[in-house]
Amino acid sequence: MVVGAGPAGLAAAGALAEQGLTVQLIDEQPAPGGQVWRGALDRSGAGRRVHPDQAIRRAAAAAEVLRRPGIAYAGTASVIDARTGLAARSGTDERIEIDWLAAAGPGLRGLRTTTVRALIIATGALERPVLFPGATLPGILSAGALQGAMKQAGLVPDGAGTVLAGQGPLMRLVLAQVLRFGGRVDAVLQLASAPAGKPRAGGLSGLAATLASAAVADPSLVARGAASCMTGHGVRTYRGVRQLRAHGLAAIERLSFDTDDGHHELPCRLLAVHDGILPNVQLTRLLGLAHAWHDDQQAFVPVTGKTGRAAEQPIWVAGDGRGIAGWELAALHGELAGLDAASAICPTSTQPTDQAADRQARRHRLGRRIDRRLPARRLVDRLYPAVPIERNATPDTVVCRCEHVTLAHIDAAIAAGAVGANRVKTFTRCGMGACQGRHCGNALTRIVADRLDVSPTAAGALRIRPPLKPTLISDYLDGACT
Amino acid sequence: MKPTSDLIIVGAGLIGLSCAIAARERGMDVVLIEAGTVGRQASSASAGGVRSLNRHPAEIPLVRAALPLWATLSARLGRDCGFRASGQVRVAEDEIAMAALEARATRVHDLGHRHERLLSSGELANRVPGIAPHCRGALAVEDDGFADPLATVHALREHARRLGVRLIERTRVVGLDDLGQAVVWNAVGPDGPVTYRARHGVNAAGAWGGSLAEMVGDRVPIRTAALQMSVSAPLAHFLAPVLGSEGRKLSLKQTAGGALVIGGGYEGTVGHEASGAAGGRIDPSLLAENLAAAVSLFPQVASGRIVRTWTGLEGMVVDGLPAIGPSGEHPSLVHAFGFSAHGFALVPLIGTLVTDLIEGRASEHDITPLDPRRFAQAGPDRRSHTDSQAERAA
Repeated sequence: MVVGAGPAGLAAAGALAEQGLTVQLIDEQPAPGGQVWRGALDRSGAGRRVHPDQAIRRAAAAAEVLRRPGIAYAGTASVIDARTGLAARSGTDERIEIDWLAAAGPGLRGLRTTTVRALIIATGALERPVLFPGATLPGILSAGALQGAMKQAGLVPDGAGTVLAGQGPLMRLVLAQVLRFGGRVDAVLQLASAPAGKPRAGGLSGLAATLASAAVADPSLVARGAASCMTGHGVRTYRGVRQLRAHGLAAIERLSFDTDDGHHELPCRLLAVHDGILPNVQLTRLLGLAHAWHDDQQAFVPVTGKTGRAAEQPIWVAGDGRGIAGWELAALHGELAGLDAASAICPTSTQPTDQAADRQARRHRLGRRIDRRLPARRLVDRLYPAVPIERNATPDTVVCRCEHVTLAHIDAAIAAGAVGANRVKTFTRCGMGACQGRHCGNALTRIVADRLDVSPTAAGALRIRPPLKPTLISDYLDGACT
Repeated sequence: MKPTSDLIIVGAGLIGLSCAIAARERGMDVVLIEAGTVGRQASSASAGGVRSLNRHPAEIPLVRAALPLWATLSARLGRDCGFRASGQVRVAEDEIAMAALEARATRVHDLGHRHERLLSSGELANRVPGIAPHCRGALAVEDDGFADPLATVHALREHARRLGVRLIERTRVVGLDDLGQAVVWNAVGPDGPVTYRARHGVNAAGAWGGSLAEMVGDRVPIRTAALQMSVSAPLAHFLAPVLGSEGRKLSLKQTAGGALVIGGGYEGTVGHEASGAAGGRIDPSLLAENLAAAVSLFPQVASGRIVRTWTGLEGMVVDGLPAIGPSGEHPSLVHAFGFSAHGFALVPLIGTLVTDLIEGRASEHDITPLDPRRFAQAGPDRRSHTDSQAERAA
């Protein structure tokens, strides 16, 4: 099974099918393409207008694999639960059981359980929320959600009082897209900080190392360079924004914030915020895989080998879910994971020698292409570090929206002896709501690590319980008989 | 190093915390040892029912005595435990179930108890508006209710800390010696082996209580169950009392926030902590059966969404009754474990009950049927398969 039909999942499914395996590919969106090509393959949708022709061609090429025999594709479908270690008693090959919900089409809807020999997780990324007081007011959304509305439904903000606030490459893209489609943005608030971190020995090479060294030597230069990407559209840009706060009664009415120039106030009706993206590790966490903290990306990533395989499990992770790397690397990773999974299921000893050698050579080529691209990715990580939580968050800032847990609640729990993310969860209910910590989990780990002065790994990450997505009780009932 | 104290309690779940507070209030110096973290297992997986309805007769007087303590618990601890005297209603969905409830009512009445009341189908419809019309009637207790298990764990933990209970987490007891007037506990903590010594000991180790009892030669046949619970996204308020259904496994309640909390004793798979399944794994077909029982009473519940499911490891004694009382083998040890999925209601009472036992005072309650020594004559030691399961899960 391959979960996720973005660039990584499509490439993985393609590689598996090409090796003669049968693949169940499931994806939450109504059409394949993932977030990056969302709406690009929907012929009737407005997304065709938002995506450049080149992106539509790429998406169509990637989705070609769905025509291959052996691939069963289910859109509007999501994983609910997954179980490993099932074969221990029977002594046969390891199997994984996946409960998933197919939600589309009359008669097709239903919770079903599929037993597979290999699982490739290509569940992409989540946006990192920006924590600031007033963030829960209506009229505030993430830049990704704004982009999704444009791609999926052709909705472009065109009224007065539209503001973008945050940092990261996606901000720049969304700004350009809004303007290209006749929308209006009144102001851009740059939350970017100077690129963080000390140079790590041997971590970088070539041009990337030069640029990274520049970032270390002259942070303001690189910060201005990054910030300049946000300008050039005639949009008023504020740099070094901190103490961001949204004001309003029933919805956002205005913004206040500080910069080096002083205090500012702006009228605002629509605010899109962004602080980069995080690997979506909900499923890898549910499966109990090991995770490690990625310092540059300020997020947990699953621990995998070069091909994306988790230790001692028939599970592979590909794409942004194993560390943010962008769609091109995701496609390469996906193909590599697919080939490796095929080798694991059908060992080369059972294959004609030339075919096995061919597969081996392809894996080497893919590995080399991936390695060549990695340094540039590291540079992007360094250029767009996460916004420190203290820059905007106040004690009354909501961290967990589902259970309405504020930073002050979390601090009180830590003061009362909650020495980890999961302890804070049981003290405050932070992360116990419908989103299961998708929104607050990363921030909670960072807050606990900061307050206790321990590593994020020691602070821990929220435990994930089934169902991965809120699931209709009627679906459980129907599922009982399939 | 040999720290000493008046009392060492093993297990910082709800029961251990209650014992620690009561003993501390009597002036004892108390150490509370916990293998994992406070309230991590059955205590946080509890459905939170405060129920005297449909109890085993041996437990009825205890729960009836615990109820008034629940009413004042939040005030006593200085923190809200979420207790609501919502009433509990056990519904009969057919004639067979109704006959069983009627027989139950007669039996309990004959024992001299007056708290359970039969409801006709008409009375049930008034008591629980919107309940499915096929229900034939119910058995109800009006002053029963429910509380929030997590909030209760934390209220007790904070109070224990305020009183000066010494809480030692991530420390597992691996051996226990009797040195005349003292209990010596050998444990393994984060920094290696450590020995604790106290005049008295309490075994409040829940699902692990059986293994601990075995260390001194007491045999209580107990197995570990991973009890399944689920919670929905908030729904408009429609349900005040906690509902059960005769002949089905169901506990259905709606919290102040509108979420449905659904349990009833379905057992998932006892797993490995390392698997990330937190000691237990949900069985999806049993979850579906559990949810179907709720939908049967309220068809509109089918449009609700489950947001989270979980399991907690619970010690189930073979006869369904807890082991509360002195050890048969060790003069300074008192057992209080194996509450078999219905210990929550007893939490405010159990501390004083156990402290009375420690101090050798006559209890005002008859706990003979709960005596851990009740299994002593039952033949040769047969260390059960489930004990080793519990150890694995630990």
